[in-house]
Amino acid sequence: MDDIPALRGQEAFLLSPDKELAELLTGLWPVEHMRFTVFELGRRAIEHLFNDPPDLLVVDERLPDIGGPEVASLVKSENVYRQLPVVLVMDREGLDLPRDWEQVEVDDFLVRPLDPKETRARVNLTMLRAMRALDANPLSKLPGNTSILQRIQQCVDSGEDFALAYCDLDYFKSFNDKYGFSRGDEVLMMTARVIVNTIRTFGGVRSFVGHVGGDDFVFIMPPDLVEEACRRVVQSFDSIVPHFYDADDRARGSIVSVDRQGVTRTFPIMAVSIAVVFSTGKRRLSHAGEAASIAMGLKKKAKENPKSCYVLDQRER
Amino acid sequence: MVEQDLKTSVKGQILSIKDLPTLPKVLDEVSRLVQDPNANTDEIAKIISRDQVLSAKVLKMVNSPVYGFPGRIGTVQHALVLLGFNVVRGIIISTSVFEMMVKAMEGLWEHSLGCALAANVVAKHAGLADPEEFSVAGLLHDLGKVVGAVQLPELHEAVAAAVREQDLRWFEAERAVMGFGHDRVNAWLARHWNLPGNIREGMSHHHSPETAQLYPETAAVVHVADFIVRVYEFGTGGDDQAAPLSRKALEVLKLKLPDLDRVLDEFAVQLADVSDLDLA
Amino acid sequence: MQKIPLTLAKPGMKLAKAVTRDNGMVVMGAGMELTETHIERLRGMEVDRITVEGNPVEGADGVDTSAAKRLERLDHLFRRMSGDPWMDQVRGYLNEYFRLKAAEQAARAAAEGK
Repeated sequence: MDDIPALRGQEAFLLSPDKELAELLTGLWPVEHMRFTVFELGRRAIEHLFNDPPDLLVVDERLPDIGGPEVASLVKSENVYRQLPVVLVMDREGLDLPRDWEQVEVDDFLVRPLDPKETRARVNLTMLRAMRALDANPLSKLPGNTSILQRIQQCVDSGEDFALAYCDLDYFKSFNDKYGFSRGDEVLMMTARVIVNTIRTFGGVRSFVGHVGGDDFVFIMPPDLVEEACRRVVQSFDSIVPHFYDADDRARGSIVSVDRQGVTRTFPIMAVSIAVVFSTGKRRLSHAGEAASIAMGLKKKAKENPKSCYVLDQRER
Repeated sequence: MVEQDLKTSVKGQILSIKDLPTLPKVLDEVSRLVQDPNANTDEIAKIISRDQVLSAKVLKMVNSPVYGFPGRIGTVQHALVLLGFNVVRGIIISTSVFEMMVKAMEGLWEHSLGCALAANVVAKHAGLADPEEFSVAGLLHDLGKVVGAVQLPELHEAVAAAVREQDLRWFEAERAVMGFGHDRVNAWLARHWNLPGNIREGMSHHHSPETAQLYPETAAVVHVADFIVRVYEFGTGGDDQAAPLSRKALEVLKLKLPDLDRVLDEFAVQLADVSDLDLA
Repeated sequence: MQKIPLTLAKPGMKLAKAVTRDNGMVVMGAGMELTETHIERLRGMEVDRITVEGNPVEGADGVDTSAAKRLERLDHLFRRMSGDPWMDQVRGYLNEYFRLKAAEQAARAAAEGK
């Protein structure tokens, strides 16, 4: 048995009614390397998946209650679980069915009858691949700079109408200074969730959320929906962020600190600033970089307002 | 010491709970909403925030270290914004129904909902900010009883027997049978699930609000709310007696007995409103 | 107001809350005084429970927030708490509160000619 140091102490979930499959998989690794928890029904597993995500998820298409691809989507569509590798087990006939692999977000698949050696090697590889540094932001797991630029360029190239929103947090630095980077990270994770979930409430539209780094986020949406999205992001953020402050700062609505020169400075509760650039009709962006420079000007305006706000590119479109 | 052993073993069993079920009526309704593509998320939020198990699950999930901000989120509304529809749907389809003692559990559900409403009213009249958070603490104040019923059915039955045979209040019977009460169980759960401190103290100190260290107001609100719901006999906390009312709790909230007039008035109105959920 | 099973509805009772279908459509508005025909109609629509004004039904399912009932129950609820001066005070306060409320509710019911 190959012993890969990086793959010790792994927890795996197997969602399958097939006892033979369970036996085969649990026999492939010593339990100190990979421990399987088996669920015969998909729906019971979901809450456990979310609460205590394992290091590997193996889903059998033979699951009686939920489709394997559906479970995979559920997991992959949340930034916090994105890096969880998902392997789909199919029957040979399953290969005959047309499948849109872009929609079925699994990392690998296995076809019955399973060969033990091949199965073990492929699963090990899948797990190692998931562990390699992705372009994802290490904190939020959202796509990082490279993916963001690629996506913007794709939108420009396709000639579609889109709106590009740049968000960051005002007074984030003073929050970090007082409360420390750990709590600052908490705020960033919360911001990521607020943006992702808000964009998602606009069902069925083409959208994208990226995390450039620090407190900088980007999202792409159809131009006719972006203002409403900004409004909701602002509302949710403003409603939740006070809870990350200690009670006295929260009641006061500000942080008071004394800097090294002994000067007392007051900083308001953090606010989100959003600058929205459009690529539509008469005003199409020609390349990704162009958006950033337009956004800079808009951002300055947004930051003049100490409260959360969004500024839309008003040039003729 | 036998008592310590029992506590340790009970704690282990309580914290190892895997499936926390809820009432069939509640699950039916919320499942229906969640399958409906046109469902209003506000409606879903409303049902969840009236059910102690779904609220607990949602708060536990959003305060999980996986999401990155444990102990920060104390209302169902905020939790839903941060979890998103997908995850909430996942929680709901993962939840099973209570198979046993549904009648008794229904009484407990009503009582908890009543306490949530009462806590909201008390908090408002005491001039406290964020009455919603007090609501949640009120809703979850008897969660330890539910978890106990699921994980330790024999102890649960022994407590019920002591209530019947010795005319004790449930809390007294728990202390007689196990040596500790559901407030202790609540403390374990709240800590294990990273629930925010105010909710934790509301859950663990509602029987002894004078001992709440960090959030005396929350403990006092839940204490007074529990007292009020019992007076109205909305649902049951496991017995049909009034609870002792702590003078200190009223003092902390800067309320005198006559101030309760408006609280009771408003509470009665809200009760009439809520029986529409048909939990009776 | 009181939520009662339709089986206990009687002509003369007034709806305190509108009866609505699952989709939210109002079938019978609040304030409607029920006749035998109305009750038949509701039965035909398989309506389970309605909320009526006042407390016309004794011991029906659902919440009886009537002060009279609350007053009556105080003895039972406080049965193990006599002797503590503070709790006696609390109980005395509740007694007074519900007594006044019950009188208020009775006066209102009389005014509405029940």
